[in-house]
Amino acid sequence: MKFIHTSDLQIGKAFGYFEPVTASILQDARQAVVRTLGDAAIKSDASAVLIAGDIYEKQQMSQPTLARAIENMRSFGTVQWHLMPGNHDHFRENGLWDRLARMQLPSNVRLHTRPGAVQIAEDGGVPVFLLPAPLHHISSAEDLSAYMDREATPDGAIRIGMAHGTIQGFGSEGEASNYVAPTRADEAGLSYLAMGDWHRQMKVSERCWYSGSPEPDRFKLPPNALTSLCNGGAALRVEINSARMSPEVLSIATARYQWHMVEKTLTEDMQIDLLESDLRALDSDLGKIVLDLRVTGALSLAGRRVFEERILQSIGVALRGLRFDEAGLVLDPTEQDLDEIDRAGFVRVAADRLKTIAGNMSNPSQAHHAALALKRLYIEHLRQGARS
Amino acid sequence: MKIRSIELANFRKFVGTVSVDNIGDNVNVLVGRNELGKSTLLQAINGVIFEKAKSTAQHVKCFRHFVNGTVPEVKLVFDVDGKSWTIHKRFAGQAGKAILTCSDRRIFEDEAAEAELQRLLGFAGSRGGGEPGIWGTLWVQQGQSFGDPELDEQAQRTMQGCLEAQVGAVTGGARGQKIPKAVREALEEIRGTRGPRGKFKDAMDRLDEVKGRAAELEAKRKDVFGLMEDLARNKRELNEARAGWDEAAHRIEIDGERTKRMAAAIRTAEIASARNAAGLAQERASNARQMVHDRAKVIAELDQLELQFKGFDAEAERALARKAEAKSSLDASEKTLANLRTQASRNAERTRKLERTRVAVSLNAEINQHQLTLKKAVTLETESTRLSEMIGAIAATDDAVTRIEEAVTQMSAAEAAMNAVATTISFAIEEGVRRRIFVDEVALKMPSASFPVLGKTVIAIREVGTIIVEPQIKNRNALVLRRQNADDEMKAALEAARVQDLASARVATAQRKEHERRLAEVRKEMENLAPGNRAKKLAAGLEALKSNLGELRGRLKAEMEKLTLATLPEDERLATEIEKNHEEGARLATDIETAEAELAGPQDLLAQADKKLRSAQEKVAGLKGTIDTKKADLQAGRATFSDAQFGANAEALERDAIGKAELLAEMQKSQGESLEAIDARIKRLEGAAANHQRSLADLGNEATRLTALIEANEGTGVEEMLLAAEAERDRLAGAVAEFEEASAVLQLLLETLEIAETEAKNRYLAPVVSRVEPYLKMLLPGANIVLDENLRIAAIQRDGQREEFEFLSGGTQEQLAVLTRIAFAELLLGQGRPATVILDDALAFSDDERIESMFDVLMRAGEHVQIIVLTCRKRLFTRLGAAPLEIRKTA
Repeated sequence: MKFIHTSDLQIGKAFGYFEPVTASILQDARQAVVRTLGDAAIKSDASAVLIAGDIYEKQQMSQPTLARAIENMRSFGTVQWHLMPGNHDHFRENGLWDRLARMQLPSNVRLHTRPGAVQIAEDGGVPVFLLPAPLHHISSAEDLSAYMDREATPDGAIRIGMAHGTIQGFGSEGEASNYVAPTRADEAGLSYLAMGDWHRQMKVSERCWYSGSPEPDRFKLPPNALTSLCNGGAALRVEINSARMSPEVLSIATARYQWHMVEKTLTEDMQIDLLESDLRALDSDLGKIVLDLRVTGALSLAGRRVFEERILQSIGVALRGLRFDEAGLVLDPTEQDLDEIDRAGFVRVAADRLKTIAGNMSNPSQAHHAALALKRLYIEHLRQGARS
Repeated sequence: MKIRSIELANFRKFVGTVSVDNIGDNVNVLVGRNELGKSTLLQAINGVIFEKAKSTAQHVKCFRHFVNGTVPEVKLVFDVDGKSWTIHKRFAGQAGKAILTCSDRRIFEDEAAEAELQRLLGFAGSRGGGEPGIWGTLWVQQGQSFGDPELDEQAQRTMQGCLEAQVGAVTGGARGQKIPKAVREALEEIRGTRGPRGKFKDAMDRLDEVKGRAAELEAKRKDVFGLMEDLARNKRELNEARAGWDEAAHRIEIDGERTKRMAAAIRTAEIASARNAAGLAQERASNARQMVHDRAKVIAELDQLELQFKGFDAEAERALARKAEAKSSLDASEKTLANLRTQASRNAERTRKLERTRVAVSLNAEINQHQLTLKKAVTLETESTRLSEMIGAIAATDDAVTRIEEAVTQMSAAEAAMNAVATTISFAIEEGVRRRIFVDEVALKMPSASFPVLGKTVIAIREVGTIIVEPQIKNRNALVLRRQNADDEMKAALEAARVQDLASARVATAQRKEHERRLAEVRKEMENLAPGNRAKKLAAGLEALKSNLGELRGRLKAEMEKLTLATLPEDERLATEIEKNHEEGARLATDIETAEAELAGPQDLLAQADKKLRSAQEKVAGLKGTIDTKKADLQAGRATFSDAQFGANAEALERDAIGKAELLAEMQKSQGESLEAIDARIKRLEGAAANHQRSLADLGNEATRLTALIEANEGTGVEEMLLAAEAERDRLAGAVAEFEEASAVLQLLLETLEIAETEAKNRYLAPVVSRVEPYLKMLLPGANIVLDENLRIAAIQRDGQREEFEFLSGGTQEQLAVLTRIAFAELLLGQGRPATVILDDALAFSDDERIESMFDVLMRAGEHVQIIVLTCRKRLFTRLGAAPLEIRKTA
């Protein structure tokens, strides 16, 4: 039995910190990943795609948002899609899942809104049962997968569990408690426990995996990350050859966009070159990159100008999305900066005064405004110079 | 630069060569009539410096003579940096020629000459020629002197160079000048005086709108979830309702209850019949018992009434005896009272008689009073007559006295006038011979005497002879006549007053006045004798009094006859008698009151006794009637049924009633469940069935409604819209925060720039202001000049008030403009660049006083600045005291 394990598509998510155009593109990528998963299933010869919760971002989604995902699944007719409510789209009577059920779903799409073993396939005469643990609330105090221990299936059947929450003892990356016992797969005799909720792909045990979100959606690095690449962007291809054998699990890249988080401290203007080359090295096509850039340190006014020209106005516009945090970046105007504004005259006097105010941290707000005013004066001076 | 001389050949109006030489270091004045060519001279100076010799520009072509068009030439000699320079230009278009010669023997020709000239004088060159720059400011052409000395860009650079050399670079350069403007514009794009505007305001408005929309969506989201929960609850209730209802069992139960109801209804009818029978028997027995009871009661009542009748009868007898006793007592009291009233009546009759007697006595007294008055009137009449006669005997009145006084005065005046011109004859004669001397035949009375004489006077001395004195007085006759008239008047006045002299006239007048006063008093007294009496209807006057006296006498006589009195008693005795009678009357009145009060007791006793008697008699009569009626009724009843028969019938009916009541109790005991209880149960069961059906229908309808609402909302994706709205809200909140920050930053930048700029300008303008002000003090003491950043005169400050330049008079504007130009020249001088100031027909608007002050200013400034004044006003500018220049025709 081969299938694709994924979760946390969170279709319909809004990206408020990006411009509407960028947000729209990122939203579109979350819909499009359904097709990527379908393609991956076909390519991997997998008969099913298991989505372990949070297919949708919320419960009251628009009809086009709901239907587009289902229609994409319909188009992969040879692939069985198994959908289960997570914490974002938990089951609620008369809610999203009842609505989906009323939608004339294609035969290759099955909803698992109640716990209980359901046969989903027969693999070489061996029945394959899916034991879903759907969420009926955002947060549940009890382990919804506990029933799997007692749930009977025919002898020799392959039992695949599907749950959404946090494996106890593995941190708290998920958004809600919904704890699942780390030994569930063994205790319930599961060949595989497909977990959802964490957007990072992670192996809990030989038989228990988090697939992670197939399309990244947040700037969060995995623990002890060696690169700037954020969580998500992949699914799992799982192959179960027998109920007793460990499954073969393979990670498959599915993301359209890579999300990176880069933190840099600039203490000299020269370091801008290095930052530029680092960013350009992220991908030959910067249009695939969504970047969270956090710059700290201090730059001269001239350095700041260079930074804006080479980072923000060059790389920044090439990126698919840029979130720029300059709260930790202070302006440290040099004498040369001030001379460049003017060597004498009232403009220079004003620049000197602003520099004094900017350096007085007893009033941080005014100091900040003064630094920005100095930057503005510098830019304005250059602009006037360009005009004359 | 200092100009030393200029020479023009065939320049505009000048034919041939003219020159102005010997231009000194200080103030020079060139006086000439209109049309002499003073302005042409200034034009030539400008031309030779700023226009290229080879220029083909139209205005350069106009340098040629108006008529003959000869090629013009100008030669200007000037000093710069201690060297003497000569520029000589021949304006012949492409064939033009420029030669610049220096005292150090350097010579520059054509373009080199033009370039060196630019360098020397520091003006900007251009293709068509030089731009005058500061020279355009300092060299004031005719009709331009009263305007604000505007500096063109070049001139401003020149002055700025001077100022910055003195105070350091303060302006920030041309680029710096534009920065505040750009910052202000940027700020104004997002914030106006009334708050955010433009994109900032749009973002704020949009944020408010999106927040509102997000709040609405949030509410709607909750509503939809609420609907979902309601629907879930509704479905649960519907299922529970269906599960909890057994329709077949309900049917069986209600049918059983209806059967039970029919049996119970029959039983109930039987019991009702038995209850009626028992009730009827009980009623009959009760009636019989009541009749037995009523007869026994009547018998007992009759006994009681008869006993009571006897009591009332005895009471009536007692009341009759008490009434007789009270009547006797009352009669005795009434007799005493009647006696007292008779006495009182007699007393009252005596009182009336005494009162009439007192009236008669009063009449008599009044008659006596009238008689006395009439007697006094006669006496007063006699006195009045006597006084009138005495008054008539005295002729001296106040008028007569006045006439005599005036006559005395006239007399004195006439005598004084005569004395003034009279000849005085004085005698001093021995006593022994005095009697022998006669003056106008009158013997001399005193040994020493003087006489004034007016006319001929004969002094006879017996035994000696006569001496005639005859004074010669001019108006003697008139004086004598006046004295005679006065004497006549005196005599007439005394005679009229029947007195000898003025003193006796005054005494007589006083006596007459005393008699008149006395007469007036007597008359007044007579008038007061009979003033009349309105109360007694007595008119004023003696005649009325006499008439009244007669009437009174008549009334007295009649009264005495009525009273049968021969004489009237004395007042005192009458008063005593009246008082005594009054006392008797009062005593009798008191006795009557006492007797009347004493009468009230017996009267009350009698009334009470009477009332009691009547009451007893009424009771006796009433009781008797009742007893008779009851006896008659009893007797009639006994005639029908005897007392024994009545009792036996009652006992029989009592037994029948008890039997029927026992039968009813027995039936009720075996009745079972009541009809009402069964009806209530049936009603309850029917209601439960209806409620169940209604509940099912309601729940079904509600489920349909909720489903429809949910389906209507879910398609729109409320949460998805909410996510979008929240995302937009966050973006807009970020944008608003950025605008806020940008606004604060621009505001801070602008304020900092403006403060720095203001400080810089003040420092920058200080050198110019400090140079203008000494001259301004000479012209307008106490005033200060205000320059703007372009070195233009903005205003003056006078007495703490700012007066804008444009609103000052033309004369003051012109004077200030000249002062400022001098200040500019001094600034240039301070930088080692002496500069000539040329004023062509300046100060045209100045009044006499001001122009004198301006002459002082020019001469003071001329100590270190070269000034050339061109004017047509010879007489006025003679007072300037400057070195004179003249235009000379060169051979």
